[in-house]
Amino acid sequence: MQNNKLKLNFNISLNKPMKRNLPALIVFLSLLIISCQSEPTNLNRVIIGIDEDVQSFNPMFSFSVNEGRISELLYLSLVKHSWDNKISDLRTEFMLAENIIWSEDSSSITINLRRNVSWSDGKPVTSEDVVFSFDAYSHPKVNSKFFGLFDNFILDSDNHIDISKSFEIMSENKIIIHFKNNSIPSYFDIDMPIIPKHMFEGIDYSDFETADINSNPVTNGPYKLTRWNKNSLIELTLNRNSFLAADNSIDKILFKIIPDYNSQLIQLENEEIDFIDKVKPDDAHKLNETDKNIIIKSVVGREYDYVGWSNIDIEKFEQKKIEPNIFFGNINVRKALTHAINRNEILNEFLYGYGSLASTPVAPIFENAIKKSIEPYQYNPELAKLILAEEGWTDTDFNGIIEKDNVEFKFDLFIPAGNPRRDFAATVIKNNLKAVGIDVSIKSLELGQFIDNLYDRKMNAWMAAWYIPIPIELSVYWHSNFEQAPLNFQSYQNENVDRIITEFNNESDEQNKINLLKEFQKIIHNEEPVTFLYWVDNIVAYNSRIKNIDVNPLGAIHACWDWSLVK
Amino acid sequence: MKNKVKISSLVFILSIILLLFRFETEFNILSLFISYILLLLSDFRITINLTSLKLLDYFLSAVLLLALPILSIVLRKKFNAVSVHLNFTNISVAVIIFVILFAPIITNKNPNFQKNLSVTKLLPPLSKVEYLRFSNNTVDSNDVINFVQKKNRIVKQEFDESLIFFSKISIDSLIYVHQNNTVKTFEPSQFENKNNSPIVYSKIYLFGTDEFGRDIFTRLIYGTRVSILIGLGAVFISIVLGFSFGALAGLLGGFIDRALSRITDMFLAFPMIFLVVLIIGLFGNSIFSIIIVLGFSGWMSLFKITKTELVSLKNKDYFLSAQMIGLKKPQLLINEILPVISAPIIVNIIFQFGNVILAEAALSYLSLGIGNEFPSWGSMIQSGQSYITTAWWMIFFPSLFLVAALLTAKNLGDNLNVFLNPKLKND
Amino acid sequence: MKNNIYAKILKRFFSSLLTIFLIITFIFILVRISPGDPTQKYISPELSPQLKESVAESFNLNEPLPLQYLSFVINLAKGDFGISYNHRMPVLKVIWEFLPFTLIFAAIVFIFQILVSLFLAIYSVKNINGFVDKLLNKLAILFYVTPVFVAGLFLVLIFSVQLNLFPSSGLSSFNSYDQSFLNKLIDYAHHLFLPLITLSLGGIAIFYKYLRDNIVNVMQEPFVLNLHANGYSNKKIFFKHILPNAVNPLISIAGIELGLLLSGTLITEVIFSLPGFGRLMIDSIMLRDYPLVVGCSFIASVAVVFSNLAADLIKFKIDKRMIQEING
Repeated sequence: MQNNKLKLNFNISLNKPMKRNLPALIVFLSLLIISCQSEPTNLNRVIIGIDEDVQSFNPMFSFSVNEGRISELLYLSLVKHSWDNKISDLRTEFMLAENIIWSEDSSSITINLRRNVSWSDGKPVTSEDVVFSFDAYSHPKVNSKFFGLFDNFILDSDNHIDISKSFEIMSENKIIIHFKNNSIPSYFDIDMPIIPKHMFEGIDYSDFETADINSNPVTNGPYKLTRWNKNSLIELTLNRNSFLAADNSIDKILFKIIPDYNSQLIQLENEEIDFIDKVKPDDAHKLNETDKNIIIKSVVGREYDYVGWSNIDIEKFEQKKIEPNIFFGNINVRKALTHAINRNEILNEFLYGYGSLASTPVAPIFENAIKKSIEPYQYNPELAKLILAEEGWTDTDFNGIIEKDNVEFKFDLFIPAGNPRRDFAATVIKNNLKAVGIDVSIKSLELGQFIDNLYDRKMNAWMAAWYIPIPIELSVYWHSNFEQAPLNFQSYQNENVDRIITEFNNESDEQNKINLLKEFQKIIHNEEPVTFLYWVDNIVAYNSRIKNIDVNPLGAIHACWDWSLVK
Repeated sequence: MKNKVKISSLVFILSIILLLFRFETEFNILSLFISYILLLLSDFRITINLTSLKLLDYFLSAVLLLALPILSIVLRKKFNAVSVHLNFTNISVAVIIFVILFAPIITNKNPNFQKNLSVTKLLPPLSKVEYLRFSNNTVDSNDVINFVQKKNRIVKQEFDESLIFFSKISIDSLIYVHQNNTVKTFEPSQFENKNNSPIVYSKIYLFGTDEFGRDIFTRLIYGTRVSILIGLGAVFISIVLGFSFGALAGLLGGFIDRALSRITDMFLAFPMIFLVVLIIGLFGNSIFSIIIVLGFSGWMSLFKITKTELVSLKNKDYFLSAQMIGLKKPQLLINEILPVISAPIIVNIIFQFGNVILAEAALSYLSLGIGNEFPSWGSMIQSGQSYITTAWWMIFFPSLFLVAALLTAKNLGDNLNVFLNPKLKND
Repeated sequence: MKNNIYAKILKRFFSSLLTIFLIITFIFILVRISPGDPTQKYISPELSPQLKESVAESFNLNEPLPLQYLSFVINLAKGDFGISYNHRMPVLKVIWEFLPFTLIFAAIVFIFQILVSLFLAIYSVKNINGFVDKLLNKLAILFYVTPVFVAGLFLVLIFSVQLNLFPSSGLSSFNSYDQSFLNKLIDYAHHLFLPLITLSLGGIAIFYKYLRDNIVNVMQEPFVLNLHANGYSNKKIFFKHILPNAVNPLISIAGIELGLLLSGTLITEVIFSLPGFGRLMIDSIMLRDYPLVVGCSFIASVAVVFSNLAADLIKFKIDKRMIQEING
């Protein structure tokens, strides 16, 4: 009763102003918001979507992929390596160096710097800057990303380059570098960006990391930084004075930070951004069919996924003993495991063909070095069962799991959390192996912990990926001396491989190197130390209005000064 | 007051419905159970070797399902004491318990089953997929092998080599099995056939499939177990911690009280989700670490309730007199205190249970959950997120289950609160 | 009497400080004994192994834990939380870049929640026991239990994926920086609409429920009938007497709401990839950025502890008034 009365009261009293205005206001506001459309702009610029912001524009701290890409546009190095599709290998180009003369015994080089190159604050780039850069990069207090990579230089303490012995400044634009005796120097030793000495003078070496110049850089490259809105945008503007700038070079390259992958994709389709990479294979597949304005290209694989089998007994290893693993110590068992895994299904259903089967750690991009006679192991569960049975693994107690000497074939497969591709592959692999009587459970570990366990060799089986550096590097992955090969998580040991690696590292002749690589591939394929799964392409997608993009194994966002726009 | 239903009737109806729908599965499992018993008598050791948790799970649910209707009739008298209004809360509690107990019967698929991805992945709800079976021509038979074969047919496994899914087949002298873009060729005799044409079976996916071609309905059913298990485990830990700390602080007082209160303040002052993310992020995620962490993060309110109730009790007359009679502290705790403080604690536990399920799902959402191996609701939602543009059902159904469970926990807590504190009714 | 109260408040204040100090000590130790290593990102075939050693040295990670803690406490006394490993900036500066967004966003959400729930509650009371009122009551319970991430995903599913009305992530469009101020504002609003709704739903449900029930309760108080009898206008009674009395108890649930907001912003920031404090904290944990983890923990616990303190003070003030009224 009382309620009813109250209701009446209020119906009379307080509804007029509210009832009409508030909903109307809401409708009006939402219309305003929805109707707001940003008009397309035909400016001379390209917008690249990236997933995280950079922390520093200083090339010596450019650890992340995006930092590397941007610092390449901001700073010149003496020489630059780029990929040559014709020879399937790297090619050296002079950048800041106008010419370089090697001494007869290759123990020193004379470098003439390009004239008329200046810093963005107007000061000229000189020999002093070059010497200072090498000094800073090799200084132990700086923690630059090049630290420890100067083995061919004359060093004083703590891996620091002995500046007075190594460098001779002949003039503003001429400099001589002396290398260490008996070293094999190459252009890789001087492929490093040059930083402005005058900006760093007066800053303590240990304060470089936090110096203000890292976010307001003074640069000498084809582009200069003109805007940095943290967590949203980085704007680079063409440096018209640079010798790399061409008439039709793009004026502005913008990096827009979009952490969410789906949004990157939507914005690409809406032409809000022009370029993204790390496109998921299924989206690439779809885009390829539906959107004519978007060009899909793949940066052919330098990364492969593999299932690691610990070749040694991990419990014995803790007591510093090396004994074969009861499951994976046997070559035939490892081959059987590879036969049991349906790698093609993963390749077709997750990668949609943007990848290729892997059989050895030598990437297919090194066309000359690939041993053509190697046939990938085929998916054949029956054969796998047969091999396992020959090795004594059979299901004698009918519980569905094979065993040998009362040990059941049962293990945990560890994967790092939060990687959809590895989740997918691991799920397929688990079921494939269950089908041949091997009981696998998948354990996903947080990345940091996963890496810890890898280094401590605490896992019997895991899934991970490796990048192949260019030039190719074998010893850290495959040498049997674990000190020398910190990444040999599978603890693979083979004397022949050791010999090949040593010879390979001391060899300078290209053809001999290739022959050694082929020999290496043959041994690895025969012994299958891990199950190589597939090479993964990095798929890039960009608007067709951008021309001249060179997509090669080094990536797609490089040498952007060569890009141009359709008028 | 008309629609009061006896709990026994509810149980009876639900189990009869289940029996009718899954009669064949029930029958198969029971017959497997009988051969299992026979085998156990003849060859004990081998049979024990063949026994797995999954097999026992199947047996248990089948036997229980048969026993339940009978029990509910026999024990009708006892149950009669409790009759309730039939509402959303009761029904969903009953359904959740049923789902947990009878998962193998409710669904006849394995939650991790996958095969021929190109045909089965990312299918929308109610899709039908057709498949062929390879003919089975093993002839040698002893009891054990017979049993194993029977078991493999009835107890669903993650894989099944004897079937092949297809999107299309064409038959002439050979059989061409199309799987979207690939074609495989087989002899007709390789398949189970009738009059030389292969028998085509089909499967229906009620809620669709995920990116691995796994049945979402089945994963939800088994996921209920996982989510509830995590909830129960974590709540149990919270109870033990909160109650024992609270008892210590309340009974002993002094320094221990201050120290424990300080720790509680610390825990309360730190946003719980950050703490949980921190610990799981740092120490890794497994089903156990998640239970433990969630348990550790939820004991503070129980601690406070226990402590306050104890302190207020301590000053009451009957407590003092009980102490004077000479009852020891543990005895006091059990005889006098427990009954008084149980009401607020039970209510708190129920709410805590809802919180834990929510927290687990949120953790899974941040990909710090229990991972892909066990299907919890949260982890299913998380994996569906990457397919949000193409497969809405991967998010929709697990979310529905999750929200329904949370709603149930909330309503149950509210109802119990009113039931146990009658004075609230008057508000 | 008065001094006594101030002493109490002061004591409470220092006790809170102690709690916060204990928390960051706990976190400091926890991150360092946990598996994982902040120098892991310096391992790569393209980098030298010596770099990792050198970096560990510069992070002080090779020293024994007590020494690390000692230098941490000394620096803390100077108000220095150290340098973030990942951002290469002082920790507080990093936090200052991310925190304002979260604070502003949370404030907007809070105001939005209050306004909407007030509007709905009044509407409900006007039509008490009507269809809409009943529906709103049921919906309130439903939205109260719906997890933030479920709500967020459903909204994205409907409004971004199906209808393509609102962007599913980010804070601004690609070209927002060269737009006029108004357009910028509209752009922000467009982007923040879904996050706002996502985060608000739960709070709206709580506030609505409380407000509605309180208004109904207050309306049945004798003094209201009294006022009616004295001929005051309904409108005046409602806005001058009923509403203030109904809103007052909200202070007691504001604490709960703050907790919800804190954890909710974290998840909302993840769903819609917004650059806020919650994401910063998760990232710092994942990257093992020890100083940043400690710094973020500090800020988070300060927020909770001092808002609790403030709520208590307000309650205390109300209580004091009551005491005065009784005495007076």
